[in-house]
Amino acid sequence: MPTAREVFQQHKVQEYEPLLRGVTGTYLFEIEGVGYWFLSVRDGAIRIEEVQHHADCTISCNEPDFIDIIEGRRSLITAAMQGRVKIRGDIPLAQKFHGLVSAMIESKRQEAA
Amino acid sequence: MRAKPVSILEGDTFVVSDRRGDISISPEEAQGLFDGDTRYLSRWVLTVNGEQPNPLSTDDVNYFSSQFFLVPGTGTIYVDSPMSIVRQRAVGGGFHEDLKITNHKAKPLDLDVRIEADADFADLFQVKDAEFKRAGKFYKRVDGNRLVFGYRREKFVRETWISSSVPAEIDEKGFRFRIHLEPHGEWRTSLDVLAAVDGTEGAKSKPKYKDVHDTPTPNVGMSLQRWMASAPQLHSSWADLEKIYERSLVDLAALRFFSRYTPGEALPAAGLPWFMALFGRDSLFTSFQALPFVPDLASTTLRVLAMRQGTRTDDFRDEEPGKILHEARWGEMTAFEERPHSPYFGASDATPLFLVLMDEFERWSGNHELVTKFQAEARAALEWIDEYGDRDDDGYVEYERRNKQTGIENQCWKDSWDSIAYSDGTLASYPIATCEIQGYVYDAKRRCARLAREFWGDSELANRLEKEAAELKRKFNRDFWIPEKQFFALALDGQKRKVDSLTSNIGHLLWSGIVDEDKAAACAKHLVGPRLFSGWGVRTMADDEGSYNPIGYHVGTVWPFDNSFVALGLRKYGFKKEAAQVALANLEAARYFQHRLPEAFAGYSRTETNFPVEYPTACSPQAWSAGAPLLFLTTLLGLEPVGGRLLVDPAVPKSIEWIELLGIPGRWGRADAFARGLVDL
Repeated sequence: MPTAREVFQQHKVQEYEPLLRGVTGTYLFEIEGVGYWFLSVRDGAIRIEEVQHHADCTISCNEPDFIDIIEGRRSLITAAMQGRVKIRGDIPLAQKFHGLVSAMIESKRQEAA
Repeated sequence: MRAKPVSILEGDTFVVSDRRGDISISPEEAQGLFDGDTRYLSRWVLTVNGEQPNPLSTDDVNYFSSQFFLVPGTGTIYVDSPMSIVRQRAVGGGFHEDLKITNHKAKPLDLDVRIEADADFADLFQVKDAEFKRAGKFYKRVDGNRLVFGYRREKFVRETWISSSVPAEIDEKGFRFRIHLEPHGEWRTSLDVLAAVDGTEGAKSKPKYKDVHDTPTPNVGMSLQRWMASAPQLHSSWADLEKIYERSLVDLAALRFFSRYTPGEALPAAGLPWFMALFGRDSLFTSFQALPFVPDLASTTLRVLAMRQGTRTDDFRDEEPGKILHEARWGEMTAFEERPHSPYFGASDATPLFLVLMDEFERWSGNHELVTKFQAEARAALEWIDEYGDRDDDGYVEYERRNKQTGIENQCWKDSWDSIAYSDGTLASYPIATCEIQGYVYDAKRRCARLAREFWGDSELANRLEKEAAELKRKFNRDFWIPEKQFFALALDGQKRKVDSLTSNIGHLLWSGIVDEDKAAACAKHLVGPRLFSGWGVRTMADDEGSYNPIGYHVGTVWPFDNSFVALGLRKYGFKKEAAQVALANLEAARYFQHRLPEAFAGYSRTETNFPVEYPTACSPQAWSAGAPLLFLTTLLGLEPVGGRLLVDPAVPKSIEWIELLGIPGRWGRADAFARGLVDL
């Protein structure tokens, strides 16, 4: 199972995410006891920094829950409803992140099929 | 017979109480304070000297506040009461209640006033199914001057905070006030009951209203006064029509709420009490009905549904890429994935209806920014129709739930388990292709062809969609038509056999435009014929079908929303008189429901009952029933955007002498419509 740091490192090199086309905003991921990652999206162009900045949408959770969400074992939405994840700020932006994760998982599923 | 409960609401927070203002749970009634699909208060009982006072009068002041005038119980013989009790309540994020007791006598009074309270934090699904097995732990505590009820399951926490403005003896069962009232004296307190949610929005700190007499400031952007003023003004010789119209607008205002998926975007919830939530189909139909009156509903509905469009294949949620959601819930069962509503996608009609509304919104508003902005979502919806909706490549959209445990079996608007039945009453096998969904797909493709050509710069797509729509119409009129019965089958079953019951669905086919001209007259004849038409409206199922039941949810009742699209469909094919007949029958029925059309009413014949009979558990208000009178008006007045202008071509029954609708908003700015009743029914 990857760590949160590895997940962000892996996506750090990606400069454009087609699934985020039309999306502009900033996210702060607050991974409890691990660190902060600031993700900036401008019409699909993404930039990730390991820094704590004010963001449009802040998503806070512990590392196992974060990995479960990224790998599709847990839904961001139900995790937030259960109180495992705190979402502050721009909720629609969090929805976009949920959509992105879902689409990436779907893409992997289709590749596997 | 139980007295009707009193319901007040704001957004997805609502309170259902008895006529005293008390809340207690019973198998018959879902009373309580609800917020986000959770019951935060399951008991709220006022006693004075150990007795529950009796109601003299109860008033739903407006949709978010109510007042209760009470006196101590005096048995069956009235004796002048020594005191009166007034409870005034306003809902929003919980509720605020002002309690006032007045001594009417010249002697002092000593009273023991108690409010018993409790919270079961039941998920609305549990309330509905009367099933209360709980996985979490309850707790109660007195926290200074606040009584706290709580429920915790892992990190899922819900709390109810109750406080009084005057000192009270507080224990874990409620509040006690020992009051000494001087002659003609008065005592007051204010009670705040807060639904404290520990979720995505963080804990709230107080109910929205600190005083029930505060100026109403709904959480949905536009105040009721501004909302009413923004809608066209209706005047008519038929006073009931004016009342029905006003009631519809107020109910639509009341049902607006912020979906937690998109705070800041107000759209209609489906209905009180069970459906105070985002429903794709309901919001789409309601927004369509309301377009010529309150067009903002359509733009927010489209934005919200686009934002939460399906992105992956998820059997549990019946989700597929491009699919439009069916229902979103926020209670415990959804949070812990015991129910799939986070959100649930089990509707096969919402996706084509999303496309229909997108086009209709542009036609009325002239706002092409939205259809341009959501081009990708529209294309994804079109792809869903062909790739996922049509499961076996036969050209029809069919459904069969993938979530076999908690998914919905029938993923059409008649979504009860027994709604799709053959004439002999046996149920159809899955996958099922209901007729009206094919109509919606036909309409969606034709409309998207226009959008592709005019706004997306893609004439290739436009040509393809037009060709596909034409082919679908040709096949549909061949495969669904039952020549010996002269109507369209309700559906094709899993073996592609025609499900041969006569139902109101044929009216939706007329609305969609998929019906060949030479078959339309037969459909119209059925719709206003004795098998389907009760005298108060078109039944969901004909009264001689095997499954017919006049009080069966989708197999014999009359649904005003259904009728509004039936009437529009009749009108579309030139059956003006029949359309007026259906519209008038429903509007006349509304007079018996305090001018508010319920979700559904019984299908008994008008000659049998003289008044429309209530359906036992109908939601009221219900968004698409509130929208129905608006669409009936559109149909009666023959309102239609043509280019940049509004066409008015009335066909109003003679019994309504005249109607004028002033200030109809649209791409023309504001326009007026005038009509005289000339149609002889």
